[in-house]
Amino acid sequence: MPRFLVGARVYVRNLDLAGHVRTPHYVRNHTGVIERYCGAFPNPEQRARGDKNARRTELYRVQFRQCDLWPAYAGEPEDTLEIEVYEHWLMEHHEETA
Amino acid sequence: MKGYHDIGGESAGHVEHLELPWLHWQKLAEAMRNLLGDARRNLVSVDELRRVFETFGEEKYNAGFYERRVEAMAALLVEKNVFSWDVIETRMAAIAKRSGVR
Repeated sequence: MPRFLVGARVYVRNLDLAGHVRTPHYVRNHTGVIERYCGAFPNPEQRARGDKNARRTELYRVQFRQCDLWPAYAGEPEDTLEIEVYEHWLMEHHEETA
Repeated sequence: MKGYHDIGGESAGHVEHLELPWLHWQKLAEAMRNLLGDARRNLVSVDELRRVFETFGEEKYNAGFYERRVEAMAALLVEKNVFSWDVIETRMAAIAKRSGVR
């Protein structure tokens, strides 16, 4: 069951994991909005270690404002970037600011 | 720690748009990857390849897209005891001799 609903504000954790991960640094420690739920897929971090029984993990498409990600962004303020992020990288936005 | 492959947002300078033809060995590399990763063999997943080439050093990583995939495939098959580097090197030497390369 997905933990986050469409429209929820989420903060991307900066997990320091060894091996292969799918969350680039440029979205870590940033807040975005759940754009859609993509489904559950075998955890690529476990698959990267050769685990054929990798746990199915919820995946979301998260939308960020470009001007939030890039300090020197020169485009329109409403420009957005969307990227897929697995659930264990995300937390409720208020958890961070509380 | 940010890996050498995680370059999103870094300055890249001018990006050339080149349409390069697929070389025969590159097609072979992809064919092998597909066969090694199919449901029957299940030996090499793309996630595993990424784990290998994101950690085997920046120099090998930057050698090229297919170059790093082939290098990572070989390293992974050695890691899984499918064959040893000796087998690969012996085979490469035989092929080079046959085709007159080197």
